Amino acid sequence: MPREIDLLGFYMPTLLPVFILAFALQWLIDSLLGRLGFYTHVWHPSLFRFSLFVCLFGAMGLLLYR
Amino acid sequence: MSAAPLPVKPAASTPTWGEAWRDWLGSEGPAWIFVAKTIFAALLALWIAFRLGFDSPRSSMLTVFIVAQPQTGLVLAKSFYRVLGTMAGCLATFVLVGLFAQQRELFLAAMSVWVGLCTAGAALYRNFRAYAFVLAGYTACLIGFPSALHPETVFNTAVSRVSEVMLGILCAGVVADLVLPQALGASLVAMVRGSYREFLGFVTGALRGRLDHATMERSHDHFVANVIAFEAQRDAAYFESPDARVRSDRLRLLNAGYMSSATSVHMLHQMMQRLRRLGRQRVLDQLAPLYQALATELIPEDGVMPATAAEAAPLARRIGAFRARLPQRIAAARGAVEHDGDRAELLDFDSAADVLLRFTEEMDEYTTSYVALSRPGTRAHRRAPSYVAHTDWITALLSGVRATVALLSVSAFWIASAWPSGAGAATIACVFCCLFAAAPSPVLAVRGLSVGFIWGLLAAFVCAFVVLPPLDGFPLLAAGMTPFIMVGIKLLTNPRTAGIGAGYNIMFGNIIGVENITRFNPLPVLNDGFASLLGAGVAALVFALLVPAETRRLRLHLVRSLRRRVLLACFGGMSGLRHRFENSTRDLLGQLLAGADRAGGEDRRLLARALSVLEAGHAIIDLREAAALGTLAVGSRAALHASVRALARLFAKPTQQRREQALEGVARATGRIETALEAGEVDAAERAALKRGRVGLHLLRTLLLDDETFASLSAVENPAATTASGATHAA
Repeated sequence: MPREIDLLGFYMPTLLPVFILAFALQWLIDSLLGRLGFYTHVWHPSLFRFSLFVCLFGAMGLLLYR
Repeated sequence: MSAAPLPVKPAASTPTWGEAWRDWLGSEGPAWIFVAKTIFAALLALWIAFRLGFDSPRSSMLTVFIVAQPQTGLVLAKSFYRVLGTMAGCLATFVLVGLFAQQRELFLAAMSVWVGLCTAGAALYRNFRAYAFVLAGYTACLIGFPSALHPETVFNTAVSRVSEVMLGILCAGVVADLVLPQALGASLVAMVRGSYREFLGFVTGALRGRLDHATMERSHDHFVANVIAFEAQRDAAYFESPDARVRSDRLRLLNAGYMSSATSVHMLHQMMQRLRRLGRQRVLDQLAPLYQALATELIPEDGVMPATAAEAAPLARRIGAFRARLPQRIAAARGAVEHDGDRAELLDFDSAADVLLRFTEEMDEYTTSYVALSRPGTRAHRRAPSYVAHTDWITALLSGVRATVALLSVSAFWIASAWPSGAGAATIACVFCCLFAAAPSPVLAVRGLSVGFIWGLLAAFVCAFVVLPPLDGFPLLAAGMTPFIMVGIKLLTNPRTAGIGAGYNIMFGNIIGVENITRFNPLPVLNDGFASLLGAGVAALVFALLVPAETRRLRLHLVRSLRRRVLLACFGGMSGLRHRFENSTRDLLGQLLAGADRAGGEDRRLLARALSVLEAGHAIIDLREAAALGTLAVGSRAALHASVRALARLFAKPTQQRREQALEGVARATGRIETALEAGEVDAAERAALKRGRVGLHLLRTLLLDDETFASLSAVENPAATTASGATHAA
């Protein structure tokens, strides 16, 4: 994977679309967990959500910079 | 001096340290938590911006100040719309710079038109959505003005602006959500429960005839405010957690149920009052047991209110059972009236019974949607109608023109005087025009923000040239700025000083000018500060001079359009009409009440008018539903439509002559429906619709004959009546 994407002459870091992708994925998982009532068992739901996002983004970023 | 000690309990006179501490924590604690969180988020954003080497790190800090709100959902909602607006503003700038970079006059004119469009949009939507339009307008100024001089840099300027704003938003959102979060969801739940309990108490009071007129009015005032506040909170909570997203549909349904039950309980009350005035004792005697029975079902005499949605489940079952039995009980009571009453009494009874039936249905719906909230499932039990805000094109257009004129005049001054800080002044003028496009009293709001500007300028000056020069490194910079920031954020927490606080923060963040390469030069700081003040001044002038929003004329236009909501009921498309009519009328009423002169009794006149409008509108919709029946004779249908048109003319402009014409039309339509009912060629469903139409006609006739209602429809904008009542109040 290239670390930068050439968008009409503008070099965009590939991390940006990865960030957006991770955000979308997190939104999806988040809604699913919310529907299943998972968050009633979590102490700090927003901390959980944030950590989930960090995991997703970190994993995808590491794949990129392997 | 120990003589005559006061007989006070020692605990009350000298609270212990522990009590004082707890008391302080309860009242001031949340505010200070908010202050600490915001400062932390702002400094975090600033630090990251420094580390990443952004062009202007202060924009990130400024973004944190601007989206700072006590509750997470509000921060996220505001951030979301800020992102959208910034993006739209960037795209617009590319186009404008690409087209007009060579011609400053054309460029500034085009920019003014863009800002005018955005302001009109902001005035049209009054929620956080308006904020996206504000941002679209002023981002264009922020990026466009500097880059118009160097068109080749426009892309880089835009990219760094977007990055700075995003960074600020991320920091604000993450800190708000993670560090001691104050969830909007919790206050939404409290609000839902509170308003249901309050409504239940109100309804049972009204059914048992224990409420006086003043309490009725106060409660309705409250209901209107609740509907709007609830929608705003629901909208913001959507961003907060999946829990709120899952329940979003059901919450909308709940709000719709709340609105329609509030209207029908009012209609019920009006009906009782009217029957009492007409002296229909026999009808009232037959109805009273039904009212009592419903009140008992809602809250048994010694019963307690359900505290949560789950506890309301048995109540929902009771109402459902009552609703199923009600038609039989009404038929029995009707028999008694029929036996020894005349025709007019029977019609009155039918109308009152219909209203009662409708109220029971709506209360059932409302309670069912309330109970449904406690279930973890995902679906609403029926389709939730979306919230329909009242949008007024004339006000929006005026705001747009106002912003265009403001920006044009500052630009003209900028070009004519070749003023180096002109861009700053133009930007601030634009921000103010967009931001306060929909405020009930923009001049006051601009004044508050300007006062904040002056204090912010002073604070920034002291901070930048007295405190900061001897300090070195980020920790000391943070320590030096914290006390100054703290003042501004604390001001935000009090609704009375929030405007001043916002101005202070914006000015301080803008002027303090922390950059990677620090320049200590007071001259540009003062120049920028004065430019901002001048921009604010121009905005205030334009608001005060150019069709001021507070003028009687504009307000009268809104008050008049409250009556003209009936025209929507007369001519609007039939699908979902009832909800659209109800919702937009209540939304408009809420807007009007926000700026009403309460001491002069204007709020009471507005409420009376709105409630008559709601009553008449619902009756007209009933009538139109009857007119849509397939089996109706052509002549009858024409008569019904003619009566609707006559009513529309009356509500467009109430005069005595039109009132008589409308009455005539109603009488003719009543005759037609009676013939259709007697002809007996209709099936049960059609018969029910026709009956409802006849009841609607009867209600309309009563409304038209009632001088009080007619006065409330025509009097509010009548200057003579208003000044007369104002004078008596002053005397």
